[in-house]
Formats: sequence, structure tokens, C-alpha cells
Amino acid sequence: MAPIIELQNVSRFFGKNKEEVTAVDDISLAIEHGEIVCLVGESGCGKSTTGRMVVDLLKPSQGKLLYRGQDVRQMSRSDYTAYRRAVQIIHQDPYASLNPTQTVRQMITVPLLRHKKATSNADAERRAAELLEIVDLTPVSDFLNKYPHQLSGGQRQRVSVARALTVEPKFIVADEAVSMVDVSIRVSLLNMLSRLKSEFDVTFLFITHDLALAKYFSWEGGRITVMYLGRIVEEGPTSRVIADPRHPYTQALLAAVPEADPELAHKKRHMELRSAEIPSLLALPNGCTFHPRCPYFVPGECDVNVPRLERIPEGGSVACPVRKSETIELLAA
Amino acid sequence: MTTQISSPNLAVKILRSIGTSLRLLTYNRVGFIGFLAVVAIVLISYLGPLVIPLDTKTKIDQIYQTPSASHILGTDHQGRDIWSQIVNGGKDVIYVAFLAALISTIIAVSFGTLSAFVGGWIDNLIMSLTDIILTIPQFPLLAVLAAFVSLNSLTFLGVLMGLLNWPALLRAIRSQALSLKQRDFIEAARALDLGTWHIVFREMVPNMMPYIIVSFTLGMTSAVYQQAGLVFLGLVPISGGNWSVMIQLAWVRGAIFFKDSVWYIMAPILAIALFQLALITMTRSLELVFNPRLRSNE
Repeated sequence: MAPIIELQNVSRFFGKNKEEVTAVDDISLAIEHGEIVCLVGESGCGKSTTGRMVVDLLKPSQGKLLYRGQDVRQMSRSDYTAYRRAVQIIHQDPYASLNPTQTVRQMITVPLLRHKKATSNADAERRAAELLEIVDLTPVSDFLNKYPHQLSGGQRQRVSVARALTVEPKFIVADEAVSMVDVSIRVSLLNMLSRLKSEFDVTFLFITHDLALAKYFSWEGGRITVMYLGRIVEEGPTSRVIADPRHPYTQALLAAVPEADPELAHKKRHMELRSAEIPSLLALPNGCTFHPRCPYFVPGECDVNVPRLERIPEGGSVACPVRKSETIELLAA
Repeated sequence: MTTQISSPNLAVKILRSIGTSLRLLTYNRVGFIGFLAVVAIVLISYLGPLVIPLDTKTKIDQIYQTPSASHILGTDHQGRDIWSQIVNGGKDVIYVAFLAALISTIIAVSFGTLSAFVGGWIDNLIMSLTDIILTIPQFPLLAVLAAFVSLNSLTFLGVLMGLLNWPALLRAIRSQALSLKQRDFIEAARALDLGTWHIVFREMVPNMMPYIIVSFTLGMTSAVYQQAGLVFLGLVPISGGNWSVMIQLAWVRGAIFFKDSVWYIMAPILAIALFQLALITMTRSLELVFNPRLRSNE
């Protein structure tokens, strides 16, 4: 069967002429039904742009978006409507993603009634109550009449999820869905999202800057895709990417994950980058965009040729011809 | 599912909502006084005529009298009571201003938000039209129009003014809507396929409500001045008494030249000024009424 979502050589530019910025540069990504894919990268690497293109809130400048093998741009109206409802997004900022003038009741019953997921007002109320219970906002009667400003960040994010669930989506883009929520409730939010995957058969594209979160969320059979300045630099099964990262950038990201255990933190190898500065998107380096920072920089190769993603036998692919077959020990002996 | 959902019936909801609105109005003292003044002026203008009929009888022996117990504001050039004219002269002014502001606000809000949200050629078309109408000087246009069509119907005058007054507000609404459009909750509504109509009127407009209601009130004040100006220039031959007609009549009759007749010309001017002041100060409280953060303890 065709992947549920597929990006084919997608690029996205912003601005015009001299001010033009390449946010996403020729990326391809196929997500199979039932998979969990984490898109990891630092801010400005184009991961949110990618997420918004998957939901068609932003149109690609080049390339195609396919839903179940069909080009979204060439769909019939009814197929597009089906795609539109099947693919939902959960935004990063819980303070901007809910309409401040609406109560939780309105936010959830309106899509239910509009899309005939409920037959009457009473039915919509009942469905809304069910959805709020699914996202652990209980007792439900405490929340239905609340406005967003009366809720905490974590509660708002749960309302966002419940709202997305009203249309019974098959694919959810979670764009940094837990990064602005208090650390203490992140795990319960993540577990709630994981539960949706098994109970409602939802496929996830989980966008985050935090490799530790990606690891947690996709540990069981998921995949991690690492982006750097608009390009995919490495992708593969989570277990492989975490245990045996090949691209120097992935290694740097992993080395930067703080460890709570001081013993472990001590042992951890610190990775020395040549520069801490992220290049400006307005003046991207030639060749591999990571070469000005890369400790394994090979002059004449890295700053000239744009590396292609190449499959590696251990699983997934890496866009680094220099280091693709080198394993690195992240913990010092 | 056994969860009990409390859903009060509609009448209780509406009563509570009115109660909250009134409570919020009192938060700003100046605004609340303005609100009370507007209510008082509207009540006097619409109910007052039932109690105090318009004095139409000419009394040659009582012209230009100063205020007294029998004539609170004195009398005019024909010996008629000015207070009765003030009481009877408000409703036309308020009606025309309300109608003009209502029509221009509805046009500006609907098309301004739509223009921003849909974008593309619709945006271009609406904005070009707005810019064209914005460049036409309205007062001379109304003056020219008055030469061709007789503006003797109040409703027609109000509609005409409403059809000309929307462009400035439309631009302001559009720019607000453009920034709202980028907000995450609008994106979420698009992803949920809630439809343009819902997004414009249920998601965007409620977020601009405080601004819209203030603009509506200010639109009323400018409509009051506009009609007073038109009447004063004699372009609108509205028969019957209203505040604007009183000013014009007082001017034509030379009321400004006599010491005793100053009450005749000042009374309608003060009535208009008071009404405008009340409207403008009321906007301070109206902003609070539409703020969901303050409403939420319903």
C-alpha cells in the first residue's frame, strides 16, 4: 500500500530575490500507515515548515505532497476534503492555538456538528465529553465551560488534541506539541499521544528539537529523521540512530542531550564543533551546509559537493560520504 | 457515558449575559457615565415626545424668551417652546446616525475580514474599490448627489451615508484580520475544514469585537456631524424638526445676532455635543464588555 503521507523532492522558499530564504531544500520523506516518525533539528532548520506543508497549510514551492499515493494538488474535491480532515496538526504554542473568545464546549462541538460526526446538539455534547475524557480532562463538566485563559498550558494542549480528534484523523502532525509545556507533565502528554496511536490508529509525525523526546516517543518501532538547515542529514530506525548515529550533526545533537545522572553526564563525550554559530539562511555554505561546524571537515570535498542521502546496511540513510560507515563511541570509557 | 453536563436554558443564559455586561460597564466610571447619558438621551428622544408634544403654535407675543419655569430653554423666533423641540428633535438624528454606522460597519467588517482571509484576486478587487471610494471627497459627493436625488427620506439618507463611510474602517479591519490570520487557532480551524464563513464570522470577528464596537460608536458620531453639516448647508430638505434642522433654522433666522436668541441656537448645538460626548466616553466601557477574559466568570 502507498505511504499515508509522502513528500517528494519538496522545497519551500520564503521571500523574493536577494532576500530569498530556502527553508526546506529538496527533501523526500515517506511515512507508512501506523508509523511514528520524529523530525528532529534545531530551530530554523525547516522542520515546522515541513510539518505545515504536510497539512497543506503551506504550499511547497517545488515538489509534491502525496496522500495515500495521490497528489494533493490533483485530487478531486471530495478526495481533498477527505485528506483535509484526515490530516490534523497540533501546534506548539498552547497559548496561541485556542481561540480566546470560545469556550472548550464551542471548540469541540462546532467541528463535530459541521462534519456530521454528531447528529444533534445533545449528541455533540456527549461526543465532546467523550473526547475530553480521552485526553484526560476530567471531570469533564469542569472544563466544558472554560475559556482558554482559565486553563494551564498542559490543559490547553489537551484541548487542542481533543479538537483535532473531532474529525477522526488518520494522521497527526505534532509540531513541538509538548515543548512549551511544563517538564513535569510532558511525559503524561506524550503517553496520551502514544495511546492515541494504538487506540485510534493514528499515524504521527512528531516534530521536536529535543532528541531525548524523540527517542522517548518513537522508541518502539519508530523512526527518526534529522534535519539541518532545510536538508535531511540522517534518518533511520530510532534504535539505530540513537545507538549508532553516523552523521556528525546527529552525533553532536546526541552529545548535547543533558543526562540527569551525574555519573553518566561525566562519562559523556563532549563533541567539539569547529563553530557554535549556525550559518544564516540567507547565506548558506556551499557543499554540505554543516561543514563550517563539522569536526571531520575534509577540505575540497565537504565544501564543494552537496552530500546525497545514502543507504547504510545498519538501517536508514546518511548524507555524509566521509563518516557514513564510522561508528562513534558516545560514552568515554 | 455518565458524565452530567450542566447546560442552563437559553433564557437564563441571556439574562446572565446581560447581567455580566452591565457589571462590566461599571468597571470604568467615565465610560459608565457616558453609557448612562446615551441611554438617557435615547429614552428622552424616543419616549419624551409622548409626554412633551412638539409645540407648533406661533405666539407672536412670546418670541425669544429667556429660560423660565414655563419654557425651560426659552422660545424661538415664533414663540415656540425650545425644550419641546429638543425633546422631539433627537430621534431622527439618532436614527440616521445609527443606520449609517450600522451599514458602514457591517460592510467594513464583512469585506475587510474576507479580503484578508481569502487574499488573492478577491483581496485585490476589494482593496482597489476601497481605495477608489476613499479618494472621493464624501461631503462634496453628497452635495452633488443631493442635487440629483431628493434626500427627503431619513432611511435613504442613512443608507447613503452608510454606503459611503466604510472604506477607512475596512482598511483597519483588514490589517487586523491579516495578523489574526497568521494565528495558530485560525490555522487549526483551516485544518479542521470549518469553512470560510465560520472562520471569518466565528473565529476572526469575535476577536476583533472590542475594536469593531468602538469603531461603530465613532462611526455614529461622524454620521451625526455629517448629517448636521448637510442639513446646515440646506442640501437635505428634511421637513419637521430635528437638532440639525433647528441649527439651520436658527442660523437662517439670524438667531446669532440677538442676545436673547442665543438659547435658540445653543440648545441644539449643546444637545448634539452632549450626545457625541456621551457616545465617545461610552466606548471606554464597551471595550470591557467584549473582553472574554472579563466575561468568563459568568
